[in-house]
Amino acid sequence: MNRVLAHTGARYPIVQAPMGWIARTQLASAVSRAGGLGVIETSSGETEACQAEINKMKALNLPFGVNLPIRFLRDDAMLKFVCNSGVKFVTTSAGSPAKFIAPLKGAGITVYHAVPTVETALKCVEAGIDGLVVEGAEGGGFKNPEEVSTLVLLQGIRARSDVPMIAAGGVCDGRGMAAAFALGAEGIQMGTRFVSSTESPVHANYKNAIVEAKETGTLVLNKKSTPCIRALKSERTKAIHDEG
Amino acid sequence: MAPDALKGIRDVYFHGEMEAAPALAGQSAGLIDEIKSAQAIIDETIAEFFAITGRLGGLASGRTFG
Repeated sequence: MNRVLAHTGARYPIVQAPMGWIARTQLASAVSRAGGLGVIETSSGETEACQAEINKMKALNLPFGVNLPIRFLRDDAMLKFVCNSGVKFVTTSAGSPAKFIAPLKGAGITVYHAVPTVETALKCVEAGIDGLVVEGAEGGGFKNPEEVSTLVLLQGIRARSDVPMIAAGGVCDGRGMAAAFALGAEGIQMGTRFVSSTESPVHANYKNAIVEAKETGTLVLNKKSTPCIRALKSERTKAIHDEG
Repeated sequence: MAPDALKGIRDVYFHGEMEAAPALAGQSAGLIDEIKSAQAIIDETIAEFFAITGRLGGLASGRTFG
């Protein structure tokens, strides 16, 4: 039995990444209706708006998850809300999940944490995490400045632990999904692919920029500080990249 | 990178001003060449996944490399 399906209640082990402002009901409900798992973001910091989105998703009676980006949460308001909301699946990211695991699991919620290294993964397993979102450096958005590919990360974690893994970073189709499963993953998470979907709320210019980009079309910025991010090449990001 | 570099991110996302802030995306942007519905993305991913794993299963059962 696939543990990601058991944990999420989705028909297929395909998870939509929790992009700030983008991962709201319009996109998440389309993904969940299609058999995947829509996830509502809270990294925008818009606590009330995100709580309203969670309530909207609940009313649709579809499987879904919520992301809690630990470092970006100003207080414990969102954690408390999620614990009392009836949400069944949470991914945590950006910081140590140690203090989040007990309250979330106490509320009957399954918790996966997003990890960029084998060391972080093993710490999460020790802390009692239910599963991991294994985020290779290929992925977009907020990144670990020490880049490790999805290919290496999945193998490194699977060699040391039997924890359920959702592969993220560089995966956008069935080829990527099959490759991830060969390396021990039981699910995939896709961000860029769903940002450029019909139901994504973003402007056509952004979707078209993704469609037009080559595999060399992104840059990792701000490696010496925080947040380190991967973004599309543009005049602005080239200038930031050149600053070092 | 300036601390406020991501301040204009909503202008990128919702107004299409692609120089307003870094437009977050992964390397898979290079593999994506069409805007599709969530349903089509998921259906095609699942069909391709089973086509590939089926072919690989055949390699294992025949003890062959194709």
